[in-house]
Amino acid sequence: MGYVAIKGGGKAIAGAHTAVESLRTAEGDAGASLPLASIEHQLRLLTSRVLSEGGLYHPRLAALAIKQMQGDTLEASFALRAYRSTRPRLMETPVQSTTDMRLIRRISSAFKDIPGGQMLGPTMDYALRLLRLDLVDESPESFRKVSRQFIRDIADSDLPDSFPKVVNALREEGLLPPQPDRPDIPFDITREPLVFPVPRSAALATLARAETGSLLALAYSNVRGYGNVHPTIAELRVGYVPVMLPHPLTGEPTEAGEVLMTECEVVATQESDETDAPPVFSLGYGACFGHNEVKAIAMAILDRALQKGMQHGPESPSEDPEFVLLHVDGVDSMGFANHYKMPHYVTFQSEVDRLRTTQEKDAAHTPAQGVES
Amino acid sequence: MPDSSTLERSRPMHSGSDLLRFWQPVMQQALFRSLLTAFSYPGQSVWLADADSAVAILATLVDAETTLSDPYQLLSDLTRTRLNAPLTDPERAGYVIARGDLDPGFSPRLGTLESPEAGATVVVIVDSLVDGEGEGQCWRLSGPGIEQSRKISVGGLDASWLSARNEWCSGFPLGVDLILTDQHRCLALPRTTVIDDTGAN
Amino acid sequence: MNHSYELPVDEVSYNFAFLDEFAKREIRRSILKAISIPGYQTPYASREMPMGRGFGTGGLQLTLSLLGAGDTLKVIDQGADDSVNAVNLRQFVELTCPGTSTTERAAEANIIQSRHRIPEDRLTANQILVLQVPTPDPLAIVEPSEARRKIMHGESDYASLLTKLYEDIVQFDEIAISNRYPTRLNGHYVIDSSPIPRFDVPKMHQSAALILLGAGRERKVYAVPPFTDAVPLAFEDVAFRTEAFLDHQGTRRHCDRCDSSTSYLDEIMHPDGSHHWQCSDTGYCNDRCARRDSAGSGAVRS
Repeated sequence: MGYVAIKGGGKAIAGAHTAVESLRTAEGDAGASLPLASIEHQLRLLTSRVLSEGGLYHPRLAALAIKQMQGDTLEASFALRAYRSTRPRLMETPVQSTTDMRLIRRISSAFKDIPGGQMLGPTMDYALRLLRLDLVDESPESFRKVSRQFIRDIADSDLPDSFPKVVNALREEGLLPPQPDRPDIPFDITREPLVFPVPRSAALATLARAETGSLLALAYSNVRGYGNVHPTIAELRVGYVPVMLPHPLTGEPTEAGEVLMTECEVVATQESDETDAPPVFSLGYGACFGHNEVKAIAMAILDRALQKGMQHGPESPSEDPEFVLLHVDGVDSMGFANHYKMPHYVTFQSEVDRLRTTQEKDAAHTPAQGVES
Repeated sequence: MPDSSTLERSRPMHSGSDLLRFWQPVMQQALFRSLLTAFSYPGQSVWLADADSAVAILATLVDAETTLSDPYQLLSDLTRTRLNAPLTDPERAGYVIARGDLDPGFSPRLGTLESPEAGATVVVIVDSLVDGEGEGQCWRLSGPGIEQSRKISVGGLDASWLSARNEWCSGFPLGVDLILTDQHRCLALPRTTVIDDTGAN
Repeated sequence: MNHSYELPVDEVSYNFAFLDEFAKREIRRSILKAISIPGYQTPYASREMPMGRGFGTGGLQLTLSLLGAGDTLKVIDQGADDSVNAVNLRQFVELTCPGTSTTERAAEANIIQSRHRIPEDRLTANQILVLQVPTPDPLAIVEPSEARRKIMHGESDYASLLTKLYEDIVQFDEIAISNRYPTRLNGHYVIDSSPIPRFDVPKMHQSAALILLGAGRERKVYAVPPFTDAVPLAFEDVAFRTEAFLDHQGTRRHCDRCDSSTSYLDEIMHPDGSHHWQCSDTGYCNDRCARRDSAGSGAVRS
């Protein structure tokens, strides 16, 4: 008779790593390692998602994480977050202005014409979802030709530029409440734990790092009926925001680089406030690193829903700050779901003990059944 | 008790660069473990540094994400710069450094029922710390971290501190956590410690 | 974007104990507050660690903020040093904390990180036990809102929790909570005793060692200071009971390996359908076996 020796955990882990690597390289002699630049560009929307859920703007490291985690967005974002834990904070940026964004795409569904004009840009919204068989065996020559052609044909006037924001026009007309003169100091979710009630900035920061699918599900629940946000997209913009830092010597704001962002502002039905103030629209705001329109829209809807919940008390799950903010983080929720795979022998034994005890008591109390005739 | 208003200026041989060692990661870890022992076993004094133990304590606990109050101007400008904590008055700070030989003269933050951890940590400079009976205030301690009870003696502490502290800590979980330190050692008196005055020697 | 951009190697290198110094300082501040307010779930800005939330990241962040040169760490999961998760955490510490050592013997360790168990042998004042906690709030089963739970904790208002226990008694004639048994510290806060079995709860009472509990995903740290009363919630007529490990005749089962009849046991099912029992604390079990073997008494069963 053998006894279970709880040994070999180390060997098992090493074996698991080998098995994972063997699957990554399963193409064998026909395969080649994926270059990070190819992931960053050809899988740009995947990279975008990982940048935003990882909460760290570093496209090359995001590409590395995607490669290492074999395309799992939750795991790749997680690796970026873990890397972020090791980096000291050397400086904090002041509030950045997205008005200065160099746009590659901006649309408004509220107005036919907007200052600067509608710009469809890189979107698949109006492409037919037909599988493109020409990509099956795309030759390097045809791949490069597309790129060369684009650069040759593009006019200087088509190069990204910055445009005024639609919501500013709405503010000037008094359709939206004015911006506060002095914005509050933003809540830093990476340094302070969420202790409810939390300010709106804490909610926005949490949503900006949230898992896209989780945000979408909750936002969808609101607009489908478990809530009452009826959003109109005042403006959706995608582009590069210059990051301004105070110059170390002069203190003058200096451009340190730029980050690709998606920003969405939704306008929703006016609040029936009981105060005497004139009725205005209310704004929901969404923004995230990278190009991820569904996330920005879902976030804007949830921001609007949460503002209502914070002011008047939640009437649906998507208006409840605790419900939304504690359940949308991909790293947290994935970790907890995964942890059930770990051994639970001790707690399970304890549960078996309780069950046996209550069963025994139950049997002692129940009178013996009569024999069926 | 240093008679100069600045703790560090009273010993000019300790230059600023000497104090910088308190911020080295290895030193931070060692200092923290000493503080951990002090908080785990209230009244037990632990060794911190050859000198400037109050700076060592603050360097271990305080940074830009905390608030600091130095109502007696005990810290040099250089130390304040290194601590990098926003300065505020002792009523609002998370961390306060105070002179033990004077009446406290302020009411630190006690926290709230929901967030008692917002109660302040007050570092009090005293002359001497003795396990058992000795110079100064002689106290018998009991409560979490203390098996039965423990006697300590604190030299150079104004008698009003005890009643002030007991008042601050009268509504658990609200309260203030004290760290008493001479130049070299410290002991902690978290809000749970019950202090009985057994008289002054 | 720049196609020729290469990752500098130092961008993917790591610090001693992985976390940056600011993160460690914040955790350290939170630990001292947690000790000062026994059982209070002190919030802290839990950082992402390179292993899953739920795999011990809360405990690990505490351990990493404690560890320094000269420390000896033991990592156990389900009582075992060689459980896959324990191995993983231990390897991570060995990788990121040069100058520290690891051991499988509880007596040699001054820091012990554990999931689900407190070692069988009584811990000393020279040791710190770090427990990994998945769900830190015992009130979560009766009150979903954290804002309201915080007030209940502050007021030491556990009436609704006691009602829940009472309902169990009415329904099952027994308190049905198996592990993470609610335990009151120093007469005020009730803690979730992490998922340790009821068997281990009495070990927290007046423990000579500091016990720190870390919940990474829920971003909380709480403490059972040394020499502190830790009393499981119970009623006068329905006592708190630990797992009994009795066989059908009512005799205490013993470990098939080291013959201990006082330890917490794992139940092991064999392919032939038979059930066997073995110490959950493998370090304790191995020590007993080694002592018996060196004493030359008793045959080694295998």
